Amino acid sequence: MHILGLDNVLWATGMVGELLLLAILFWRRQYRIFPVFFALAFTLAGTDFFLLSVVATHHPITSLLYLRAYYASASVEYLLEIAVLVEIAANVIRPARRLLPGSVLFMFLGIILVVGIAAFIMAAHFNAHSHIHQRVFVIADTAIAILRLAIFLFIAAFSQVLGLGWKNHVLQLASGMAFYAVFFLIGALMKSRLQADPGYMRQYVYYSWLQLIGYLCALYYWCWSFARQEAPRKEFSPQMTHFLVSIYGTARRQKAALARSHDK
Amino acid sequence: MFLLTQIIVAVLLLTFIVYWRRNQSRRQVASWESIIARLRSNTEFGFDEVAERYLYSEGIKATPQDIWQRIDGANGLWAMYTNAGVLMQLADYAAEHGGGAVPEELIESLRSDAFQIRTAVMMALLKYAFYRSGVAASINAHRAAAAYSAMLAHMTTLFQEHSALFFPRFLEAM
Repeated sequence: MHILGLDNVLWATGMVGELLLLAILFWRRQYRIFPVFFALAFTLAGTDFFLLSVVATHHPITSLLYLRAYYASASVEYLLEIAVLVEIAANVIRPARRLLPGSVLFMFLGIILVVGIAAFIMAAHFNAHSHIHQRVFVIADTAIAILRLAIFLFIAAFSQVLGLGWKNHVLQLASGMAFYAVFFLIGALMKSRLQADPGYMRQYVYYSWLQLIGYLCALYYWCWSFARQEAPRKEFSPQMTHFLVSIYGTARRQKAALARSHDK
Repeated sequence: MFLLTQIIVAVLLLTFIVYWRRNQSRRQVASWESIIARLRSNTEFGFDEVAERYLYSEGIKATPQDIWQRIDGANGLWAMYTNAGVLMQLADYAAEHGGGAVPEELIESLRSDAFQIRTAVMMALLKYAFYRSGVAASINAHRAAAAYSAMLAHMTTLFQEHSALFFPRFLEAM
């Protein structure tokens, strides 16, 4: 093995966490509610074994083959992470889906595209000061980190403005994703400022550890969240039902009244 | 300088996430009574003067021309926005804890009511912010006020008929 010390521990902790998350999602049948997140957990668990097999065939983590394998699998993970955010957004707006225009999904995808391009330009700008070649990976990492966080902030702000509530598991999934996104962004920005000096590799590893620790916190938080049962229902009295029944249809009547008044 | 900016941005982002997370968690554990208690008083923005029979029947006396002044402009709209949010939360509560007691169609309709008020208020506020004039926002403000009035009347009926305990508290809150 060419991975030593803390790297070894973090990797092993990550592998255990990913397998645990996959098992919990399967056990709780969450794949029916969060199919994309389940696919991400599956990919994360699979990727580790794939990378481990590369290392096991005498290709150290600094080798070109390993780096290619790493970034090929990371690209798939990035796409899935963006898809998970879309899944979160779909869950959040579900209660108000009928009230929103049908094109809302396309608008959302359009926003992702625009923010993605802006994030890439920003990341390239941040990286321009480093004077180091072959930093496409760092630019891609930073761009994805900005994009991830921007999408999360957009969903949170949108739901806040419209007063949409988040279900327990959706909230926990989004919280973990946001926490990880912040750590990942900090690490990516720090990496993009690195200069070509003898301490480059050491500092690069430190920032990677920071990202990894953020990721592990999110990973084990998801394990804990999804392993728990949803909160039990509270008592719902007949008075509460009457309350809702009495205000039922208000908007419909109001709309009809407004339409009549405009016709006159 | 760049490092300092990064630290500030990171701290701001983490603060927002913690704030948002705490808000959402509080929202999830809120009781029915605590939600209702968040309703803002309507007298503070003069809605009691605008409604036909405040709290007791639907309809408003104001026209699109004078609605902006009579509800204290953006302040009144914001209060309606807040109260519509409370209503939305009640719908979420019902969906979460009502089980089979509350039909799904009813929940959907309730959300729709609150959603329409919020949308009308947001449109009115955006127009006001863009044109710096209440005239441009008046149609949306009138629509929001009319829907809001009807909703208040129905809430009063409910508290009066079904909750003797909460009715005085409701009147006090209004």
